Amino acid sequence: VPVHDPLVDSRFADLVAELRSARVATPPALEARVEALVAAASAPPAPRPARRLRLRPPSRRVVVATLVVALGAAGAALVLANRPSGSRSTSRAAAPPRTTTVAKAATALGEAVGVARTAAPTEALGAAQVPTAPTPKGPSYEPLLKAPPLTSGSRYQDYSGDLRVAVSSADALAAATARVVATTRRLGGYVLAVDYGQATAAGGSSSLDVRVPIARVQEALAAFSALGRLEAEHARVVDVQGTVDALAARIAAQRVAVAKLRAQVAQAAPGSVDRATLGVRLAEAHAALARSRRQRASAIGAASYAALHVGVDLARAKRPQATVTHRTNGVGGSARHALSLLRRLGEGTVFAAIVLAPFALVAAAAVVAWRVLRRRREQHLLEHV
Amino acid sequence: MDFADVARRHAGDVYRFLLYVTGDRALAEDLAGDVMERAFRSRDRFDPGRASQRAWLLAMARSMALDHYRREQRRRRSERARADVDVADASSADGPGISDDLGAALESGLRALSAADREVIALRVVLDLDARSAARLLGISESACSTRLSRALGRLEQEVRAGACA
Repeated sequence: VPVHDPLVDSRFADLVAELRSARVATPPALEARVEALVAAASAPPAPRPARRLRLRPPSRRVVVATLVVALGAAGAALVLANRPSGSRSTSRAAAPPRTTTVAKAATALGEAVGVARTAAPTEALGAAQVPTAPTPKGPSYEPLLKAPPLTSGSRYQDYSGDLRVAVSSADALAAATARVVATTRRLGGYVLAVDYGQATAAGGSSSLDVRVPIARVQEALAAFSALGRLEAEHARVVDVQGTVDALAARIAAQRVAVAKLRAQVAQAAPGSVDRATLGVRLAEAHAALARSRRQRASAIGAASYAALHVGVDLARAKRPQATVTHRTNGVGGSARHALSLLRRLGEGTVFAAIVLAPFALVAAAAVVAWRVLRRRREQHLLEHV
Repeated sequence: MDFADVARRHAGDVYRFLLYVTGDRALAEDLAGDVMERAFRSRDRFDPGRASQRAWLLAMARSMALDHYRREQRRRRSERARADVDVADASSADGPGISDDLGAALESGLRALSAADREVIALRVVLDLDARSAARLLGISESACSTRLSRALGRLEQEVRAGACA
């Protein structure tokens, strides 16, 4: 019988022929053992005992499936972590009526304020800073003015805000700057600073710091947002009611102190040292009372006006971006959501692949090395038997 | 898988393989019986897509032989450590040969080879397993398997010539 291997040449033909011609009979004991096993195999299966957990090395398919599931899970986690705020707004649509407006608003700022109001409508925001709204993109961005009013009519609050709009021409830049000034004055406010510059026909900006009565800040925001395409906005509200109340309490205490000192001065003998000392203390108490009154007036004054910074940029007309809607109904909306989900899944997969790739490579190298080592050991063992 | 058919058809091949690898009839018989028992227990796990029934049984036989040699190695080490003397191998150099049909020179030549050489000769020459299956069973490439076979046969020929001259 020829050896099929091309490396075995005719030199070994006799050797191979002799090896193959040698008969090796199977021992009867082995045959009997095999027959016993065959009989056991053909017998009806006995009820199996409860199977014990066996830890077998995972097959290739299991490894691949596990890898795919891990990648999918990582991608899904990434998608959930980066879920757009619009989705969260939609999920809050079933909130009480007071937050309905918030649910419609696209900004995180609107949400944050809405949540705070729902949780404690009569409580102040305190010194907590309202989170910055995300940078808006495209004309469909719903501005801050559509969020519920941040100001509270019954409390003193410091309100400051930044607004940035873009206009498309130099004329529009000048007109927008003039309208900011005019609107501020019309609403009873005043302009603190104006910085207007136009370097080239294609570039320029103006920056205005204005103060608007707190009661009319929503009107001001509406008017300023309409000047051009809203690019960014930021609002910060700090409750100063506590400060004002503390000052009021201090003033009341100081009034009592002044009254007491006046009485003591009146009772002291004219020309005495005590009267002079009491007079000095009375003057100091008067001064402290006046300082407290000024501080309170200052705090109330600051809380009466909202500090707004309006930036107007001259920018080339941009292509309108795709409208971002938060509706989930309709074929178009579903398709957009599906595409968005696919995009995010893709991003998540790439991210997971980048993160897991080094580990996978190390694991693969370890498996290969382990196999090579095992084969070498086996070979070594057989060679030295 | 029809275990009865497989066991009756390939038990002899398993025995022959183990006989060539170990060079010991009694040991080969014991190990072959153990292989068939293990095959009986794990017959449900046989995957025809991965290997033929014969290759599956031979792989099991090789694993059994390796386990046996590992145990022997450990036993010898521990006995050496305890007795602090050289312990003789448990191989049956004086026992019956591999086959009564083999010439004395070839028999002694086979005994002079390592188990690794006898293993590849058994698979490729005695059992006529194809190169791919044999390579897969040994965990090496086909070309490496061919090279190993050629060298093993070359060594066997040298041993046979040396035996004939002596």
